[in-house]
Amino acid sequence: MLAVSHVGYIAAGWGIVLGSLALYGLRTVRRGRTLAQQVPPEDRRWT
Amino acid sequence: MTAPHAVGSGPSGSTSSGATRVLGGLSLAGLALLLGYALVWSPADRTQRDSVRLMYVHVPSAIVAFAACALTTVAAAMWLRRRTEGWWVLGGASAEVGLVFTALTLVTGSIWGRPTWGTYWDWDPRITSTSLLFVMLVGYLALRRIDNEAGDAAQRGTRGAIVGLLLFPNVVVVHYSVDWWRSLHQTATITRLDPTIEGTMLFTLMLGIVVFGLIFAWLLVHRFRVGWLEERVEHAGLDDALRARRAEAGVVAGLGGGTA
Amino acid sequence: MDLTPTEVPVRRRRSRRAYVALLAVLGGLSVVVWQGLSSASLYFYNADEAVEQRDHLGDRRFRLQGTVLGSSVEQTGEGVDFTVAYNGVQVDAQHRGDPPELFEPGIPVVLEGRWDPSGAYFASDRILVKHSEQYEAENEVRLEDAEDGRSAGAGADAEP
Repeated sequence: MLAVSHVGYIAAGWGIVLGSLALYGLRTVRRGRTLAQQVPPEDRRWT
Repeated sequence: MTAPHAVGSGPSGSTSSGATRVLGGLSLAGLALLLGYALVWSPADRTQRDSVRLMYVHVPSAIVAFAACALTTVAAAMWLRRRTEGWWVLGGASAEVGLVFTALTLVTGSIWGRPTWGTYWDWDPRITSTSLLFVMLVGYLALRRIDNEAGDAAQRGTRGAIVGLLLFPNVVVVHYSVDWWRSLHQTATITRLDPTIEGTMLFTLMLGIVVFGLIFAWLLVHRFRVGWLEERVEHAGLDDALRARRAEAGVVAGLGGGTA
Repeated sequence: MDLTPTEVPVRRRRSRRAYVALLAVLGGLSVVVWQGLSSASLYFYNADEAVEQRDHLGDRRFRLQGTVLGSSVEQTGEGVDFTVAYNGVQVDAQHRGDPPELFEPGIPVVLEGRWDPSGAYFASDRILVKHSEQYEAENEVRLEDAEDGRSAGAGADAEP
């Protein structure tokens, strides 16, 4: 009764999306860290 | 007043701020809730069974992707009119994030298509127009880079912006493709006045859209700031080069005023 | 510095011409895209159209859309035989190969194949299930009476 169908598809779909978003987010934050160090703090208006 | 930015706050900079931390926290909390609803608490569909759980990741990805394309079109139009740096950076940021979500839309749609339609891919009008969107986003980002390197400040990014203008019209085509043409893809579920979807499923779908919206906002703010910093670094490089040129010229002409 | 006043109007004029050209390109492009996608609107023929144009279609490969009729599905050695209907017109189909998982009576499908030379049936080798935009919770009644196809579920969910 509790058996879930299509487990493979569901895992693949959700896994790819969450994995990609995590990787992309991480990459973007890293890029920001690297760049921020090359710029004086007054150019980072948000801090 | 002159140099408070010396050492203390300087070295460990990032693109984070209070706002992004709040957005990030909300995104993660929302995502946890969404996973609960999407994978556990929402019912299986009568015909699709559990594969319907892919809807809660596919549809939100698509909506966010289309919103990102709309934003890119606005940014491109404003860039053509105003030529201000903010619009330039916004266009690049929203297009890049939008590209990620468009790719995810195609991938999740393909995965969902296999158990429901019986195929991973078919050149159905909606899939075709969404693929076109993907290609246009790639083209937009590529043209931006090419034009940027071409150097002519006034013409910078014009061709890219023209592609950017086309993104939103294409989104409209994607949206109506299932109504205008015969299509394998189902027609709109939630933009109808009488949603043809069971209550908990509808709630889960809406929650998914909100959570993906938050994630999109978080990514967009960070990516915007990355673009902004890139501009600063580039300009700094340009300024250095100019200064070096001037210094050189000054030395040659004997106007340098001595050495350091 | 004295270059600026002359330079600006030239650029303006040039850019205006560019925008006009752009608009023309845009118009042309949208026509092309519309045409292209519209011809893909022959993405499938509905069952009634396929019957109407049987002579014209000949042995050409095309797609046929219709809803699988209730008790028509019959497993054969090589695949499955069934009848689809659209707009009151029925078409017998013989499919070779395994039908997709969601294939069942009452569901709209798109078949790929051609008219059998005899004209008696549609020979299909690919079935795509055209899922509708209806989402309903799976319920226990439905699970137990799955064999009865739609009737059980439809009865349970019937609206007043």
